[in-house]
Amino acid sequence: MVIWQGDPCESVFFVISGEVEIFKLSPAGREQILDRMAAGRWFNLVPALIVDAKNQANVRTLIESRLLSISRSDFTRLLVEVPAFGLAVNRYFAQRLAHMTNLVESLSLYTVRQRLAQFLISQADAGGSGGTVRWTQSDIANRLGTVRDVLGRALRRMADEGMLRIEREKILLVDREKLQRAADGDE
Amino acid sequence: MTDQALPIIDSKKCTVCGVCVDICPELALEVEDGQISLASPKACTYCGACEENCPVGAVRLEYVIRWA
Repeated sequence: MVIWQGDPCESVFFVISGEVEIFKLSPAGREQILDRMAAGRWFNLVPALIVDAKNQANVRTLIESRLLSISRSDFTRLLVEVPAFGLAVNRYFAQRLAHMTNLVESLSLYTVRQRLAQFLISQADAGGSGGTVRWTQSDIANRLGTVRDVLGRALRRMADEGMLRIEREKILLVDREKLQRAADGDE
Repeated sequence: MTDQALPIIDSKKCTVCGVCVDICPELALEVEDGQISLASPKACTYCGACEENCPVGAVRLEYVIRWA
């Protein structure tokens, strides 16, 4: 674990190498994965800019990773003294806001089947360039805001409908047109 | 050992409750020296029953997602 949700925010972090996972836990212990971050990404910026704030999510490394830690005070000083740094951080915030807006939209407006189809297409299109490309069905369920057995049923249904094949270690997407229709809720 | 992908059991999370041993349709898992062991890796079909039924999420079956 890198940081725990609810602990006082002491630092911001930059991923130099490896990959981390940002997630929240419900009181019952259910996980919601918010994002995975590979090299070049920042995390824990939001509470660093709020007085007396606490870490807003949990962060763990997924593989061996090197992280740069900058204390809140140094981070704030850099923002004030180096305008280019401030601009870069602002741009980063804009990207994160767009990502979180999409996540809220996805969780509130789309069915599990739609979310799963969207997720599968985006992962296959990314071709693994976005860091870790190995997912368990539990990981996918946590990412999509559902539970493992619902996710398993949705995947098996898609397999039965000829959209994909589930093989050892591989989920192979077969029919883009059908998957896209499932993603759009246009079936 | 086999070169095929196999379930990964997190011994820190595992409580050795034995559910995965009982549920495995291929009898590939055993309790050995107080730990769950994939005693017959070649028998494993990667069906996912162990992961699906593990009450503490200690079993991982990993997949890559790609176009066929």
